[in-house]
Amino acid sequence: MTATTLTINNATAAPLQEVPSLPVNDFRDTLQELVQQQEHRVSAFFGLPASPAGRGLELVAVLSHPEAGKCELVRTAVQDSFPSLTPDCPAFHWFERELAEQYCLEIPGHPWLKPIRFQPPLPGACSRKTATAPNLTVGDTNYFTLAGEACHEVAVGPVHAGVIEPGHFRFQCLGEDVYSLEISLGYQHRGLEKMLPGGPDRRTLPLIATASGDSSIASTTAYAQLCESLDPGLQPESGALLLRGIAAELERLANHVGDLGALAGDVAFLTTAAFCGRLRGEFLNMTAEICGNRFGRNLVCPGGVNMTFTPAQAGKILAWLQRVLPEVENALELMFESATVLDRFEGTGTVSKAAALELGLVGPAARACGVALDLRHSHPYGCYKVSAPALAAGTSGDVLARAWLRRQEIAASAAWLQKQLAGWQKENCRHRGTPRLAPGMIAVSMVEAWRGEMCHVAVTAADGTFRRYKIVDPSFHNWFGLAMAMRGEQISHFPICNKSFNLSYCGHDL
Amino acid sequence: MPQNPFFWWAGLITALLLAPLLPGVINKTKACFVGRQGPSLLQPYYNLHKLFRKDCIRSSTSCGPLAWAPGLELSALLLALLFLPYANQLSPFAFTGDAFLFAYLLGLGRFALVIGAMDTGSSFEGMGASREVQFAALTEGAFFAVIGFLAFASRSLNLSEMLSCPLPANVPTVIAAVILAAGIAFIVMLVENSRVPFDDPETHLELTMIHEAMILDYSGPDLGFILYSAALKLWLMTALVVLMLLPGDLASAPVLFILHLLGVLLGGIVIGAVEAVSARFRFLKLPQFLLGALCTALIALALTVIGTGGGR
Amino acid sequence: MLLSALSCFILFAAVLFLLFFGAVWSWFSRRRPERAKWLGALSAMLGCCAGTVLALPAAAQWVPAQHFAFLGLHWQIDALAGFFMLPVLLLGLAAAGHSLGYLQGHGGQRQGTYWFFFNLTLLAMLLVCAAATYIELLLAWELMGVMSFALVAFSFQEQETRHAAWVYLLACHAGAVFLILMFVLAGNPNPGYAGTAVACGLLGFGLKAGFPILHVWLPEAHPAAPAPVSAIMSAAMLNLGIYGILRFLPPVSPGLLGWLLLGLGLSGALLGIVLALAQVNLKRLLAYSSIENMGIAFLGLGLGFLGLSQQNAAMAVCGLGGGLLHLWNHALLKGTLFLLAGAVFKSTGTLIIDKMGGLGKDLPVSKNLFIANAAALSGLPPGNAFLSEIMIYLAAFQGVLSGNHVILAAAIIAAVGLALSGGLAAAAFCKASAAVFLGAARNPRNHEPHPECRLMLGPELFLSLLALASVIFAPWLWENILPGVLQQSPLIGGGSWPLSAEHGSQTLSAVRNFSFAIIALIAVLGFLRHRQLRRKVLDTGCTWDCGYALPTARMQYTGTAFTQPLSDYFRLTLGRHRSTVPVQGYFPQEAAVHITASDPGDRLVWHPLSRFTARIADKTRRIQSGYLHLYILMILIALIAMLIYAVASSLPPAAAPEPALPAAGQLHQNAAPLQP
Repeated sequence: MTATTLTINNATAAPLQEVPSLPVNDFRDTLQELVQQQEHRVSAFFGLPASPAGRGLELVAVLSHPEAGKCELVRTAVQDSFPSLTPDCPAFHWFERELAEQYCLEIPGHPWLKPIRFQPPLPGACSRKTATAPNLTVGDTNYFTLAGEACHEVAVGPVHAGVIEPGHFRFQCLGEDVYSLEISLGYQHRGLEKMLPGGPDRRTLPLIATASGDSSIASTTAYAQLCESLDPGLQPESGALLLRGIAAELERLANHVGDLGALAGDVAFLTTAAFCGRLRGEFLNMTAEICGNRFGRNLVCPGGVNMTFTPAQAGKILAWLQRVLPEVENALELMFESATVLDRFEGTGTVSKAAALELGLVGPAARACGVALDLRHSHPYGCYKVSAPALAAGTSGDVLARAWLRRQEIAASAAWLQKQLAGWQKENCRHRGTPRLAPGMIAVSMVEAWRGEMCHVAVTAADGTFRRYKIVDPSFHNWFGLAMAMRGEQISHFPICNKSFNLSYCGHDL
Repeated sequence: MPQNPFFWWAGLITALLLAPLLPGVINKTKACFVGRQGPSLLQPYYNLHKLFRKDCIRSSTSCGPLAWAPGLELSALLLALLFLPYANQLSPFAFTGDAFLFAYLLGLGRFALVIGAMDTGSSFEGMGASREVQFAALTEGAFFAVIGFLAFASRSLNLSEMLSCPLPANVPTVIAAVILAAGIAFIVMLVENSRVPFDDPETHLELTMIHEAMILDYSGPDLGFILYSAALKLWLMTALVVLMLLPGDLASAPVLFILHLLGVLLGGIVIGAVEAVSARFRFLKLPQFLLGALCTALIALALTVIGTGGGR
Repeated sequence: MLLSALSCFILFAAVLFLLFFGAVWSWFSRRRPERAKWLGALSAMLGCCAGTVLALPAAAQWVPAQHFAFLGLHWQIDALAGFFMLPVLLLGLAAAGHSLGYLQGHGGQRQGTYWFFFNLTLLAMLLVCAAATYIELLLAWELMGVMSFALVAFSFQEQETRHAAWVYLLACHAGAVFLILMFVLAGNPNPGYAGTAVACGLLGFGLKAGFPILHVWLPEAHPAAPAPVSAIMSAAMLNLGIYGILRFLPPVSPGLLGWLLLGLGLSGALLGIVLALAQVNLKRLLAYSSIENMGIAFLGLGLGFLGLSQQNAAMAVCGLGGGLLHLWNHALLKGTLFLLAGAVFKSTGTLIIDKMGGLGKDLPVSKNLFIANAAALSGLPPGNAFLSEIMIYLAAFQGVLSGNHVILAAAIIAAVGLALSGGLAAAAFCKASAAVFLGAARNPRNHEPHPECRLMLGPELFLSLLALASVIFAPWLWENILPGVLQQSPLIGGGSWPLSAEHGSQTLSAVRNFSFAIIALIAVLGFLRHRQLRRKVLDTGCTWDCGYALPTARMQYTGTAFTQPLSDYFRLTLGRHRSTVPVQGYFPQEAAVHITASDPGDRLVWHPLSRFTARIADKTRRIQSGYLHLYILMILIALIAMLIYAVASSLPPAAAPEPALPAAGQLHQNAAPLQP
């Protein structure tokens, strides 16, 4: 069999020409074969306009295998329409909706072809339909409805009572029973994918860092790896890689601790909520100790890191960590030993392993269902090639599993961090310099953000600028998982289900 | 027991004046438990003051009840206040059977609030109202079992005598029964006042609220009415529990007055402590819990019957 | 005295004449609907007014009890009869007025038909109250059943209505059969039959009064009948079952009767209201609530009879009086609610709660009346039903205070059950009021809703005012009327000790005063609030929609959703009651949920029974071969069998003289203890 795909490693680049361009039908068969038979995940699936003005669109798919540690790239050229893969492989469902929206592509056979961001078409969209631009009132779409006069809807959002991001949730209910939840996002759409081509320039890094504000480190790391794979002269030293890892784990700790506290708050378990709320700040402050910004905005840059990190600082953070971690353990112990809390968590918002696999869930949400999926182990990058925090796993797929998994990950990351910090011997170097990217390449960089797999794909133009920069946030995979978790659930459980996923709105909306 | 109506009136007026202090005490206690500073004890007063100065926005879906519900609820609670024997002094308004009027006045307040909530045509208010009537209906049984216990223990049908009668302190089963019944009354109080573990008054999550969801569309003075009513109800029910536990022949009226006041504030601290250490229950589990409370109250009654050697 | 007797007779005759000739005349003028309508309505109203003049003094014992023969039959009008006649008359008056509005749009010969049966139903109900002996009772009872059957079947074009009417007719006849049995058995000197007679009586009257399990016809007939008829049936006709028990039930020990009524009442109250919660048809909900309220009345009467048996005067008076008072209160409130349901039906063309919503803006007066009456019927002060419920609570707690342990246990369970049913009633009526009148319209209406019809509004207001008046007059009613009414019942008045109204009257007046205090307080607070808001900016905005751009009417709770947690808890809307097109797959295209709350009485008793009967009938059908000679053979066999039996029984007594004598002795011995 001739190579139907191009296989590359994570965080490497290849000339775009080498990616096999298949006829649409072969392309579909290949994808179907890989996803259905060979358990590949859809990491990215996006449109690549032939040129900003010209007609014609290529579709590029990036598939990854959780064990093989490779990425498969394949592409096809389409006119106006692409028969949907969703009925066979539900994992494509959200990607195809995005394609239909971004490039006005017709996706015949897609069961739920609705806008996901309510964004105007990107440049290079199939011109035939751009004339009839869709109604762009965010949240205005044909929701699935439950028939029967006793049934009703509950519409929550975009403005929520808590200080959280905007999104619209449409429940089909009968009283307390939820029959279906449909999530409609797009309120945070800023047009990131429209702004990035033409880069990298001075605003690229800040844009990437704020793609999803609570995953700045992961996101900038993915970007940096992309640039490094596209610019052979830009190779980071190991100290920089390790510092990226340390910052990433601190980010994970801060978010996991904060989320567990928020979960406790949602079941009115005040003690853990209050303690975790404070402890999250401690981890953020550690990040600030490293780079001056609590969210690590300024730390990672292509070619290394922006800051020096001295053994003295490492020692300080280590001591800090050793002081804070027992407190975290105490606060969590309190929560996981409280019968009333466990009663709320157990069996609530269950997602089956099959659904997690079919829908392509990532990160803790997938691991809690028993899907062993962690890029730090399967597609190691940066410092994780040397060592990585232990892989956490759950089985039951409910809120308790997700919460418990986070607790495991806190312990694993904390142990790993302490080891790395204790072994920090010499100061690393700051890196400065702008990347010069090789032209006509495609590069894939996947990192394990705290929410799961974050995939950045860049295609460079002939002049060494980005022709297309695709960001697939972990939330992009997982939002639909939350909708599935609420099927047949009590509506009063939505807050804890939502919080146990804690997905990013802006990471999705871009 | 010497009667001094002055202290009853003093009790009524303190209830009216100090009721908003009670949520303040609860919040302060919760804050202390979790190591925070917490809002000022007087915060509820500031809130009320602010609300009464504000303008009002009313839902255009409303066809009336939204506007009159707060006043009706407050009226019902003000009237219910008249039947408690503050400082163990018999209420001048007491009559045989006023316990039932008391319970049904609380029901009237709830009915008004529920109808007002449904008037907005919002799914959140509907959700809150639906939960409210569910739990209220199931709590009613437990509350009447407690009243039955009190009636039997005091051999009276008037709330004043029920709550202020001296107990046969030498009968241990009766003491146990009183404590049991007061416990049930405490649970009833938590449900009626939408406290943890039945509801979370602090939450911002519309989908899990009960009381707060019902009043989402109120603003300004209307909301002030409702918050004040809620505070009154909290005081009322807490005082009920305290008076159950406070024997009428313990001390002279002034001492009893101080004791019942301190008891209510202590009740606030206990509520705060309960809220700080327990998560809220699943809604689906609440009915069993409430029916369990009903059975416990009946056990308390049985204990008393056995302890006092039965009927006549 | 003679004068009053004469005037009573004349009034009685006048009422009968007005109703009867109104009926007949409107039947004969049915080809002129307009004339038939006015003839029927006016005669019914005049008859009811005249009847009120007759019944009120009788109930209030301003005139002594009257007995007279009329049409060769014996009638009597005493306090008990007057008390039960009053709801019939007042409801009749209101319903007649309401029918004028309700029947608008029914042209042709239907008007004449309607008024014919309407007047005759009223007439029959009055005759039931006035019946002096069982002959008159049975005649009037049967007339009432048949006439009201015709009214239930008024909209016979609809399949459901026909079904309901047949169920109703069956129930009526089954009740009549039991009553005949009761009278036959009660007339039998053999004391062994007394218990059976009482059981038959309870079954017969209970079928009318909506005993649990026997109630099945009620939720069928009420939604099917025109609203004014439902009002009369629910508010006045159900009472007649209780009237029958109080007046015609063979003597039975008050203790036994008390326990029976207590058990039936408690189960009826809880079953009724729990089923009411789950209903989606407004009138069906009201019908189930009638079962609940009848249950509450039975609970009161049961407690009262228990009090009688315990020689506990306070318990007896509070229970019996509270039960009767509750009947009166229920009649006024439920009558209004059914009339309002009729107005809602006229306005929207449907009775399904989940299809309505937002009617409050179109029918503002109806909305306020409905909410007020619903609150009152949930037993909330300052409504009138609270007065009777508090009396029943008092009765129960008298039992708690002074009864023996068994009475104590029963009384506390009764009180807790009453409290539970009160809470559930509040839930059910919140659902009904809110889903019908409040919020936004769920379904886009085909036509603009009709404005409120004055002809319908008048009677509704009239009954509501009566309900308010009965709060004012309750203490008076309690002291001056109820003892006399109760004395007339052979089950109660036979007792050697007088019923004193001192028990509870103080409570009643206190409650009345506080009821008005609360109304005054609401007014004062409303005024204060109004004054405060006058200085402020009052703005209207949309209901909080979380900032979503396009809120719809689907985003509000439906009635079913409102009570879903409770009715699920009672397993009424789970499992088989929820027919679902499930939400399947990741991308469901269509799904649906429909709720059918079935009646456990139907499901557990009547359907199995009817299946069993059908099976038996199926088997016996083989005899029906259709061949004439076989039938003749069967007749022959039967004749021969009868002949043999006759011959055998007419053998000379000498054949068996010995056994006969001891048998007579036994009989004598058995009868002996009854003598003292």
